[in-house]
Amino acid sequence: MCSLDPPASCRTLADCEAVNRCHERLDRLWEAHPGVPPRERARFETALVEIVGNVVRHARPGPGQRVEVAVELNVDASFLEARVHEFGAVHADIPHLRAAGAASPAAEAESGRGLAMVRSLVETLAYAPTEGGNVWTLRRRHA
Amino acid sequence: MRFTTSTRGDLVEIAAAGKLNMASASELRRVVAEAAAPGGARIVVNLAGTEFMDSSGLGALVGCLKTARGAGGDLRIANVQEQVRMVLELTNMDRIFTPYPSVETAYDGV
Repeated sequence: MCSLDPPASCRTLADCEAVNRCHERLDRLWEAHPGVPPRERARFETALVEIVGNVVRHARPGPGQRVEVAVELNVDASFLEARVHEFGAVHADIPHLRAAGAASPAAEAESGRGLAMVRSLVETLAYAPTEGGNVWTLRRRHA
Repeated sequence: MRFTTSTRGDLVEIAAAGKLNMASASELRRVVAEAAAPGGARIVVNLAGTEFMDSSGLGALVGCLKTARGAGGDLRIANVQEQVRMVLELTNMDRIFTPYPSVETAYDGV
């Protein structure tokens, strides 16, 4: 396993720019792992950026706190894995995480498609409380 | 993300280059609202340079479609790249946004 940037070193405010920083992190990850096929990169990047965006949009800060986000990435011979930490956020009930939890949004809806799409892109999608916040785990086989 | 608006005959082309995500989605909404404002505009969003789109970007496109139709016009997309096509298919939104192979053909037969 090679881990890039443990979370303590890259905690940032959960704002729109966090999404762009996530793209930049992945650019560096793909440079370091040229063997991951483009199709796999695209699917993992789509899922991960969606989760970071979800944190930016929906994570609610605990009393007196602000939400910070940090992304941990791991690549091994078979799997791509990301852990997205949302520090300072309260734990939320997220119906879209359950397969039958939410109906498909109407065609004219402008939101509500993200997590369903993530579920179809990764083999593991988990959301759990941790000390100081929550963590999302995404995992996808790439080889 | 960079948006460039130009007029091609009776079409308004908006070329979108970069990543259409949460950070750039509101700018697309603004650019399309401006293009749709005169009324009746036939807009084509040229996605040839759009290497990435997330659900925020897709949501913005839906909003833009409503804006364009609300102003008596329409909005279509052309030159969709692989990742954007994947997002459209996974969300079943390829039924709402038919990806046309070029700006010029986006309104063919209409």
